[in-house]
Amino acid sequence: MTDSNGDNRSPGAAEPLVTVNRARVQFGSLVAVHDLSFQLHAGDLVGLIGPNGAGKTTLLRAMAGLQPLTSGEVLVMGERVLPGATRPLGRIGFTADNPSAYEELTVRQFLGFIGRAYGVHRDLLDEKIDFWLEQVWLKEKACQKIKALSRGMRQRIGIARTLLPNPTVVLLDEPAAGLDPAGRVQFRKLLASLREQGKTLIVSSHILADMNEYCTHIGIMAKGSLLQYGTVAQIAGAGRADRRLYTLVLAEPLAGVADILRDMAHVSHVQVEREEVTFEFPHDKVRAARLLADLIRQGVPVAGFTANAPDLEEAYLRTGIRQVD
Amino acid sequence: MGSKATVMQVINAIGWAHYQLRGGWKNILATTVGYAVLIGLLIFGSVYLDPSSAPSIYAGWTMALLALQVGALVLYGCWSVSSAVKKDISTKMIESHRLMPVSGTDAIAGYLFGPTSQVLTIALANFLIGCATLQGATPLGSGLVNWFKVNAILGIFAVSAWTVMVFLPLVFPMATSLLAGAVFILIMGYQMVPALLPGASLLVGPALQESIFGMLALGRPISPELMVSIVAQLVVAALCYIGAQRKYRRDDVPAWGPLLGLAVVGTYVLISMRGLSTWEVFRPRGWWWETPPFAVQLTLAAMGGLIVAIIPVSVAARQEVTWRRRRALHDPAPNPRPLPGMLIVALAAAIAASLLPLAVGERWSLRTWHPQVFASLRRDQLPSIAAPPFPPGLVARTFLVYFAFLTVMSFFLRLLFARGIRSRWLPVMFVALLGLAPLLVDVTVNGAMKRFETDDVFSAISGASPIVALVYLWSPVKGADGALISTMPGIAAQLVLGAVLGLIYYASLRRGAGTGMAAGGRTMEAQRNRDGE
Repeated sequence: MTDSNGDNRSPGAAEPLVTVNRARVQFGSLVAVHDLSFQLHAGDLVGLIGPNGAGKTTLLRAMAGLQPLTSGEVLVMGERVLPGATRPLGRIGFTADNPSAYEELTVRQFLGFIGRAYGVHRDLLDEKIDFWLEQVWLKEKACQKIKALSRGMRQRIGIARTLLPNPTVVLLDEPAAGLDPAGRVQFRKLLASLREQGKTLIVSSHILADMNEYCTHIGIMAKGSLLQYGTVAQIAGAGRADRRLYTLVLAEPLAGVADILRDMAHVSHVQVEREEVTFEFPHDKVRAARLLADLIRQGVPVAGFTANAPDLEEAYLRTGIRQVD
Repeated sequence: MGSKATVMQVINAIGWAHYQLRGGWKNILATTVGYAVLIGLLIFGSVYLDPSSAPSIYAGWTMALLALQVGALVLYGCWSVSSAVKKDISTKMIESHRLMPVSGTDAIAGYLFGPTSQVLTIALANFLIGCATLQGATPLGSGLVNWFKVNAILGIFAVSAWTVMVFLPLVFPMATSLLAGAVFILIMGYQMVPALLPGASLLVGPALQESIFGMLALGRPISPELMVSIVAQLVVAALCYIGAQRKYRRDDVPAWGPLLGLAVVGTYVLISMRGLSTWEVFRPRGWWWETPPFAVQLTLAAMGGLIVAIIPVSVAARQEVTWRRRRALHDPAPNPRPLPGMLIVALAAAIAASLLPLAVGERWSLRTWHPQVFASLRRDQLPSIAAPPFPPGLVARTFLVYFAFLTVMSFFLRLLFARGIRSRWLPVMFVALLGLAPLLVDVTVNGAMKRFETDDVFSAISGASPIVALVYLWSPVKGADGALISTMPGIAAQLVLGAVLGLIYYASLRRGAGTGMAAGGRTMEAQRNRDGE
């Protein structure tokens, strides 16, 4: 992924599969997507994170041709994506956070409908349906009506529906929200496999721990803009390299612990959750040891003290975005 | 599902899905066979009870089958199509469709013939049973040829009606309520709608009134008027089909662009003109309501033209605001420049205003072109105004009434769209205000001056209402002194109002508010400041 300001690729990199050029979506006076520009290449798997109302879903819908742009353009393989432009739409797969389906049809009938709509050859249709049902663990439900399925199963049908026509660009809005732990593991493997096939993927999710594992790039959105943007390692390590998030575990809750910490030098961002206290402090083992000794001396019942490794959650919290879904 | 090849699999995916949602071939076959057996038993039973009257019974059943055919194709068919579209909209399946590379043309065809698969098989059963009953129905001299003809006419009408039923829910979220209201009015005051809007009679009459039943019973040929009606139905269906396919693919664009909107106005004018001139052919019969005078029908049709002409004007206003907005944002992919709004206003006004002279002229030409119809007319059914050629001033003032009204609407809508206001009710209320406010002012001011001692309380003030201006111009209404009431002050007032709204709009463009961008920018800036960014 390449943003409009910086370039993470070598000059000889392949042509972008997706180009978003100053895309803006405005509802009345509210600007939901604020003049975003970026490019995506084959094999990019971008995780999009941000609070509710950040514009993630609107951006994905605009890229899928569902949301008309107030200005700007989205190009897929050089062709402009417009609502109703059927040719580029055939190359894009989009799964909404709550995918709709014909409830009265069986799973196989519904996927049959999707295959026909995308022009999948009839001789290949059953084979493709079987393949994707296998991939999303729904083979045994093939003849059940969709209305009889759980939310997680419907979510998996949504994913199968998106991938059945073999799109080049895959846009997934909260795809793992309804999945059980085993389903999430399977889903991570599926995404990795799609990435290896050279597809371009954008996944909007709030499960940041998962994104650490499967994404190549991360974009943090707020108020319609991309606040941060880069490879997972770049984003996770972004911010002040000399400071680290520490976790202090108390033997029992202590009322004044936050004040004690705030009174200490170089401590900031103190948050107390019953026996667990997190705060920022310089990334220095000697100073950390001295801080721990001071805490014990002041009567804080310390049961555990660790310096957290940099990760996406930390990076996200460091952006200062308060509302977390 | 399985490997069974069906017709719907060949047609398209949307049609196939709705065919499956109706239960697929098993359900459709079972229902149709059950229906055919039931009808067959009823026919057999009635002949068995009175074998001596078998020819009359068969004839009666053939007529009954035609009525059932109307019920199946028109009522059941319209309900099936409309409910399929509405359900796809309410469950957001239509969004899923919009992701697919399915053209609007294919999708609308799918909506027409997928949900109606059950209707079509029942209609086929009715047709085949009718073919059988006709063999024994000697009083119906027309035989199989006419049975085929009436079914074809009904089929064209039904498919046209289905197209309208696909179109309506895509355009109006409240289409069901509107439709229920329209059906209620048709049932409760059957003659009222076609009497007041004769174009509706031209469209609906042949399929639902005595035309097809008369053709079957009496062996009447297809009249030229009926052919005109069929063509009109097909034109309306084509316009709805185009509008439906645009709305199916894109919810954010109007069903028709400015040029198609002008075509809609033109279609309204031509259908209304034919409806007014051949009213005696298609007017509903056998009910209690007296036909209103021609002047009333004409004025109401002209008022309908005022409303229909808002369609292209509104679309042009929206396109201009969108274009200006994208330009203000220095859009890297700007829309092409739309046709000038005032050009569309002028064209819409010219087309809509042509209804009055055309319809009156057609009515007078009955003497020449439709001598039988003319012979059946009473003198009071002829237009009460002068025969053509009309004075040029009358035609010019008629155009000015439309032009002034549409100019006002054009700038009012541009101001609304520029501020991102999408209310449907505000324009409706504004139109009502433009039409009624001058009347109320006139009644209050002029009536008070005359102490309400006379009924002649209308003056030139009322002429500021476009509706009243048309009445003053095209009906024998006279003022208290017996002279024609001048319409020029009213037209001038409308033009001044249009100019004022235009000035406000262009002034807002200079401030940057006319594109809707300044407000948005300020809001986001304010949000950023609040958040300390």
